[in-house]
Amino acid sequence: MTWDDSTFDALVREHQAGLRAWIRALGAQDAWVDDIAQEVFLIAHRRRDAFVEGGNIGAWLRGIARNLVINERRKDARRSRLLHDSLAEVLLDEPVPDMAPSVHDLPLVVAAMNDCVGQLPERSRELLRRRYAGEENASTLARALDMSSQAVRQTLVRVRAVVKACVEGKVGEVWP
Amino acid sequence: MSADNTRYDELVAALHEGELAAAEADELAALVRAQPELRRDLRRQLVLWELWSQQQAPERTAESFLAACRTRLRAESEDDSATFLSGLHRRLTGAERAPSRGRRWWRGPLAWTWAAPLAAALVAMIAWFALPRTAQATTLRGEAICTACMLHETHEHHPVLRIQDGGTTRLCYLESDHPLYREIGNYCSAPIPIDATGGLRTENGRLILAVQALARLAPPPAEPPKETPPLIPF
Repeated sequence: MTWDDSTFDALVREHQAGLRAWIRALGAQDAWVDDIAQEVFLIAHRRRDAFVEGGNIGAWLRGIARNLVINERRKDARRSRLLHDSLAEVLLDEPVPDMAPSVHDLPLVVAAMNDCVGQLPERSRELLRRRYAGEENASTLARALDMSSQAVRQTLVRVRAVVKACVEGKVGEVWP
Repeated sequence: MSADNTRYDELVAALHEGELAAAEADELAALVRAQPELRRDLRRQLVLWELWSQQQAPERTAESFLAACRTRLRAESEDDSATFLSGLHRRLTGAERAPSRGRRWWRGPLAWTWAAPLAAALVAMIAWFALPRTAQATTLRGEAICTACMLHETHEHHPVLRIQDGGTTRLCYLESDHPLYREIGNYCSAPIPIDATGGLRTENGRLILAVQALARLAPPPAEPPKETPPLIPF
């Protein structure tokens, strides 16, 4: 593969969303997912000569990500970019080869997710959007929406469950 | 999933909210290890809300992510950390002179502004090369910028030191969660010149400073107001 700036950009554009989801599923803390994913692309760029022409580049990137996460577990907890060690361990032990939708199936999952969120009542949609758009946690959202923080937490639990069940119903086995 | 997963749901909710304590994480790990269907559920939840977060947080969009990758790639290709450190070392020992205006580097009017931290860096750098595992204090001068607002690398706001080194730019990551970071000011809205002192190391090709002291530099003096010509030139 001839590898220039446009190749790098195209590679990142095509694989970034799925790779970040994969890294999160491996047990990365949400705040560090992008950092680790960027490292994966930099390593891929550095080792581009090692990629076999015609091979599965998505699987190659995921392999690099997995190795990075395994290395991360060797750090002391204070510096680790992973969830708690016990949880990261069990997620890394996962035998399923594809823990996140493939690059081909990802658009289906994202479309289903957006459709399912779109079916929620306006207030639930707003809560979900604000929870993930910035740095608003349950307490700050509670103040902004004139709810108790417990009510915000319970609503988020309920809304997440509804959306997940809806997405599962739409995409079925596409979603491993 | 079995009918009653109340405890599992509580623990996953705490995980989503970033409120999972270590003991609870162990409890959740034991639950998902024992029950493959819960493991699958957890994995799906992590993936689903990660994808949602990528769509909702402005600093996490595909274009922001690509821009951050390009920045890091450019920084990596311009100069790796070892080259930066050895280049700094060469300059400190006088092996390489700044070509500016044909002057010797120590004679420039602003040279002493840089000389003090560079001299401190020299001492630390020599020890750093000789004893790489010993944490020696190094002072670096640069601008504090935000990993989220300017680099789009994370969605937590965290300072990074941007160092102009000759014609290249280096990023030095400040080790996380130091109370001194509050003294920098609002580095999200604009770069803030600072001196950062601490133990310097490289990790995965990145420069990382374990901060011991931070000093915010005074803003550059304002230019004197130009004399305005009299309105009526008698």
